[in-house]
Amino acid sequence: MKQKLLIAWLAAVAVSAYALKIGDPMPATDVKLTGEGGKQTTLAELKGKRGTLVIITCNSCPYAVAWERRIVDLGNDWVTKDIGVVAINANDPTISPSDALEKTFARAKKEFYKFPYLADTTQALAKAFGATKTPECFLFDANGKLVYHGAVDDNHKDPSKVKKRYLSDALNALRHGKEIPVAETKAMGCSIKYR
Amino acid sequence: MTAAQLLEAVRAPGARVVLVNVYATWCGPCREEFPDLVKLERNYRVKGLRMIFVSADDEDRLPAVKRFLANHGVTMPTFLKAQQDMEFINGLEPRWDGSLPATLLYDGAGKPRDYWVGMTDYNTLEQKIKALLEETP
Repeated sequence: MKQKLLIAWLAAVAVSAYALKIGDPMPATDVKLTGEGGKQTTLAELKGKRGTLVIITCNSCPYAVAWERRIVDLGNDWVTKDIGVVAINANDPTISPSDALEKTFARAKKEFYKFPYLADTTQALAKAFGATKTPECFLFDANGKLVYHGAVDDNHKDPSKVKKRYLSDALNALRHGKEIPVAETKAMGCSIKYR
Repeated sequence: MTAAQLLEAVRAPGARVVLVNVYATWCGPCREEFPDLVKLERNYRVKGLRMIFVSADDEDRLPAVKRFLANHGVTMPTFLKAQQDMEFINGLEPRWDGSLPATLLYDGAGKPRDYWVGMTDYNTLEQKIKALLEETP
């Protein structure tokens, strides 16, 4: 297990060197993502008319779990406003069994996701995004350029104590053609379990 | 503890090498690497290593943090992060993206020398610590 986790860490460090920057085009649009029943989808198919929100998340990280309700509420709202929304679980389930395919799809049902929660079984998408942790949000504009990267908001633990709604503010700015107030943010998260 | 307070502790006189480890008790890779860090601290304390453990657990998990540290035989003072994530992360190491665990190496003057995001291990850290100790008479 230790060797496997070390390899995961080395992969995470290698990945972080290629982290997407604001203005970069959406990568990996043709990577096949797995949905329930083995259905394959790509980001190209999920793009929205006004923009696309990609959330790299998982079932096992306490931060991802703490933010999940807010992620689902935001996603369920914005997916009706011409924003393509997708949550993606890239963790290797052999390292993190809670992130097995069936558990991911069951979670989406249980938590009433109205947007796809897919598995990046090859981890090619997460690597192309330079994603290192969960949850990590990437918002692209209508032209597929990255306009926001980072956290959902500034308080994972207590929604009532949130002072800065980074992702929500970015979505609103994108919708109204305004400059994104804070384009890059950081928060603690769990390192992605790369194989 | 805030990033500024942590950096003050790093720069406090008396150490030849300082290692900061930010962990959380619920984080698998953090738990996995922790015994190696404790062992390093024991083996290199007398040679001038100052180890600073900072838990990123929420404050209400303090009992779990204390249990975790006791289970690993850690008796020295340790700390709990007490600052908003982004301020803490950027204040400590702007290149760090916030993934846990994170381990940061400083020389005796408090100058950052290396950092690791995600799990690391005894041999990797020992090699760097030895090299820094050789630099610092």
